[in-house]
Amino acid sequence: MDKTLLILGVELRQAFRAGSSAEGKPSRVKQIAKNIVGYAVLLAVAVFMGRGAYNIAVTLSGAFGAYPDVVRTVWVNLMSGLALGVFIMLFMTGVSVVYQTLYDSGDLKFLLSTPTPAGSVVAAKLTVALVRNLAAILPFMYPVWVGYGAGSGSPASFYFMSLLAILLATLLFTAVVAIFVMLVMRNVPTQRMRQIIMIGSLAVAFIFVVVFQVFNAKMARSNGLNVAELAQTAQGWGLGKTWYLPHVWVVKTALLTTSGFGFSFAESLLPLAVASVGAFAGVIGLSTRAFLAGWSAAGEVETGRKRPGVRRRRRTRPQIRPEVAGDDLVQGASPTVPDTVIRRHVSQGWGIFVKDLTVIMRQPVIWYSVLVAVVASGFYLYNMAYGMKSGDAGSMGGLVKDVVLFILVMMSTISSSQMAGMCISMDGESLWLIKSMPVEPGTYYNSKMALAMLPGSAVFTVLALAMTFVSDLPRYPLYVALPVGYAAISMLGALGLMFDAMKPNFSIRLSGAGGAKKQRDTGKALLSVGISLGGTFVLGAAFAFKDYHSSFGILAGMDRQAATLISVIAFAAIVALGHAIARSIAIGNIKRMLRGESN
Amino acid sequence: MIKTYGLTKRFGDTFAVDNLDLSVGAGEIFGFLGPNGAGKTTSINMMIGILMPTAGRVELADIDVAEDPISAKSIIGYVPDQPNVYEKLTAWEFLMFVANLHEVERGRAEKKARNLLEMFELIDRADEQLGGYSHGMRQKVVIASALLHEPRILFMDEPTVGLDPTSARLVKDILRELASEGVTVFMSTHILEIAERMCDRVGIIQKGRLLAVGNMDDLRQAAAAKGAMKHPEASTLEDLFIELTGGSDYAEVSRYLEG
Repeated sequence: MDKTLLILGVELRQAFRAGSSAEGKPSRVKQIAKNIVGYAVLLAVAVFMGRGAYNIAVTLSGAFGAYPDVVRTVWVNLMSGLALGVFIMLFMTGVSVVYQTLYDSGDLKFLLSTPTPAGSVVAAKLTVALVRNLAAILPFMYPVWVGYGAGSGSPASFYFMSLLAILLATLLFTAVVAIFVMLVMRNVPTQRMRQIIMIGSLAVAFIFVVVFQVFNAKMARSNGLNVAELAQTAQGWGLGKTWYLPHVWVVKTALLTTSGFGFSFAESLLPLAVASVGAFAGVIGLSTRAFLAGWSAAGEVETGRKRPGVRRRRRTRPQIRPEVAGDDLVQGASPTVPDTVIRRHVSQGWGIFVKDLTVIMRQPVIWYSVLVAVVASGFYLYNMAYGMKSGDAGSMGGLVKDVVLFILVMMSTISSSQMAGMCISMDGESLWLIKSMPVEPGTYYNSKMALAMLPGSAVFTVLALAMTFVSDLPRYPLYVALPVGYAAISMLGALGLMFDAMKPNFSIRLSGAGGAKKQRDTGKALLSVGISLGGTFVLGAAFAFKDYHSSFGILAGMDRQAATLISVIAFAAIVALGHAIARSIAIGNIKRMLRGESN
Repeated sequence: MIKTYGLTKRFGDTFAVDNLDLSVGAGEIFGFLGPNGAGKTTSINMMIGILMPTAGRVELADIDVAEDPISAKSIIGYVPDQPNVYEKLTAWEFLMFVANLHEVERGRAEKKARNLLEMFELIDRADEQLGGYSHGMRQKVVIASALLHEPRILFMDEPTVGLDPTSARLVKDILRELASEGVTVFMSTHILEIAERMCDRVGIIQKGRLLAVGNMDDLRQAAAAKGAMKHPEASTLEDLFIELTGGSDYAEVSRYLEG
């Protein structure tokens, strides 16, 4: 226990110092300012979500004020949905967090070489994973519960109990995943198989996402917030009756002290606490047998498949060959080595682009993210396609076309901006290679720009084509939609790339089972999403000007063609300006980085 | 081939490299020695143009590194102290990537890469991802990548660390071969035996300042001038290094160890 606390103390100190700078007072002040801004953004998101939940709760209470039993039933079922949401969010990120913390921490080698029991090390690391998982979900989940609590007049104890319920749920999840990961790492023989199983577990989360999206689709088609339908739907779930499911324990724990519900300690906090603490103890118990062997196996990397073309040969002693520095390259028969797409064309930009693409495509979690993005987009499309028929659009048909187009752009740019936000950072510890090569900053920028645009463009193309074939909504023809979409995606990608060039984070390593030591930069991820949303709004507003200008008195009389021309020019100007600014700033920063003027 | 003029790098109040003047000729193997934190890696990073000096300048084959970094980088090969590579690339892909960055003609690059991999006994594992390679194997791949484009100057920061004796011997043979063909080799090392046996000249740096530079005789004279060694003419590079970089500290440690 002492050693666990000792390790945790060091972890805590490191966590605090991670946000500080050793470069002097100005940098420290800057860092503190950045932290404040980050927390302010997080707080704003929390308030926004909490307020939304509050409004729904108030509406429900108002609509069914005369029927408190109905309110309580709806309330329990909605809370069940939220509790399920906790586990879904954990599934989305928590598995890789647990894996990375337990098996990929850089200090494990050192810790395990000291006379510290494996159980103490695992207990400390599991606590770190718990805190990280909690930090990932709490800002998004707890405000919703607080909003519901405030909107429904819950007692003060509700806020504590709901916090406790989320904490225990996270502990339960973290511990169960740790047991799962530990067993996999201990007993599955190959790295490839371990990766498959890890991804398999993520696939479970994927199924949750699908189910959640189906529900969303169903709700979205219920003509907004029709409380009667909502109540009916919620009652139909019957989630509150499934007493044996952890998310039900979570709900009942949160509502344990709220009068009128009548949940007992034995069916709420007791099973949740016993399961959580028991799972945690199980991890510690298992760790003495399974952790060390599994951790050793984590260091293994698959041996590559031997291709037929590569001939094995044994030599007694390597010989220096005269052609090492000279010109005589042809000497005897050499083994053939596989062709690679990197060598299809001899150009620096192509080389960097394909190298990045190869690295990214070999990250299993990237494929999982793509899967989730495509499914989420698919359901969103489904909602849009069937939620509103073309006849609904009426006189607003033009604006609907703009909204449809830019919703697709927004969904595409979220993936594009995230990629752009780490394009340079992903070179990480290998940046020395690029720095020491004769690479022009412009070439480097162009190849990164191509990479930044790729996922967004691909997703947009799929969505635009799908929209064309599955929906009868008003929409632009492809010859308009595609160029507009690509232009918007490229500009937003350029902005993301610019921010990455301004402040690259080379401690980022792409997450993935077996390969990552650090998580993605949360601040940058938020910034990327901000760019996607804000940028799409600005570009959409410019492009849609032709369809809403008549709403402004002074512009009401403007000719339709003139308005269209203004729209197109405004859109093109914003895109061009955004590109010019982003390119100029990014290349300047890349130049300084490559020359060693900045780190 | 390598010239530095008053090369200085300051981090805050600390001089990592202080007014370094060096000249290394074509075909020369130059050993750069110094205790940990002496400024060896910082000096190399400035010479190859990946770290901007606070003052001074570097010329590589008469190319000013600060003014024309692209031309300067196109004639050098660099082996860093840590072989950090793209773990998700195979060794072959990594070499082809480097060949692309140097814009080496395709057929030539492939033959060269094949030969280098074969020489380092990595050809059988050329299509394995580098994440599965040991430290020494990665080091070999990085050395191969530095030789791929036939550089005129080779900078190597602790090139033999992590290599098995056979591979270390191979690297030494390669360096000699390259030097005989006119390639300049600038390497930092802690293995004084390598420096003594391989290098035409040696520079010793401590706390960012160049203490002595020259061949063994020059260093002996420098140590004799310091006046502390009884028989500098019979001393090894190790003796000279300890004398020049901190003999008094070493003597104290010896006394402590002897009780």
